[in-house]
Amino acid sequence: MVINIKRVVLLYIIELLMLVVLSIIGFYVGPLFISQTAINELRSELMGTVNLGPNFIFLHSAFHNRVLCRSPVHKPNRN
Amino acid sequence: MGTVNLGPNFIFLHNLVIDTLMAIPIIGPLVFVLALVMTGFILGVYVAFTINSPIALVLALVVTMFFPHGIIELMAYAFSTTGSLTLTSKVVKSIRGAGSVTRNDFIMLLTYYAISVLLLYVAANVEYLEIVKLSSVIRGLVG
Repeated sequence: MVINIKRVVLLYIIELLMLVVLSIIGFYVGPLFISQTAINELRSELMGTVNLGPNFIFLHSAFHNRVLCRSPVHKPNRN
Repeated sequence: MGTVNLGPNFIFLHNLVIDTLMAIPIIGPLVFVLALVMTGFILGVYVAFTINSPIALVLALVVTMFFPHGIIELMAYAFSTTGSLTLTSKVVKSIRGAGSVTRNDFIMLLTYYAISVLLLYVAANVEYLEIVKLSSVIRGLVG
């Protein structure tokens, strides 16, 4: 049993080539198939990711613990 | 998707799901192609809608493929898919009666998979560091 590095490198090169070709296809043909709305959702998700900070995490957790956990619909089941 | 869960472990677990699917014989190579199609195609569409410049597409590709996390992550996927492809070819050969799948083949697959998981963990931490360090640049690019 030997790890075949040649095959791994070959697959890596195939990955790179596929990414290049597919992104070019996506760039020129993609807008015909995918709506602007879907891309806007992706963009807001990206923005949410880079805007993350300790205050955001704190506020989210506080909201979750103090509000959602007390609501009859969301509260954890403690049977 | 849970932004609050984001961190190196979140990135790692997200990529691990894809990597594990790629490591499964027979379906692994298909998942590999599907993941690349989704990544490449969506990247192209995203650049077309947001910046709409071929130069931006080249820059986005360079970031995706040649930033440290990209190199390590793509290499990890290459490892798991190589293991999966090798075992798939053995399975096909054994179905045709030209060979058999042995215990060593599964050990080989697990070795490839273990290397890929290790690389993915490193890639996730590097990616997280890049996001933290370059968040202002990303914010500017995303708009």
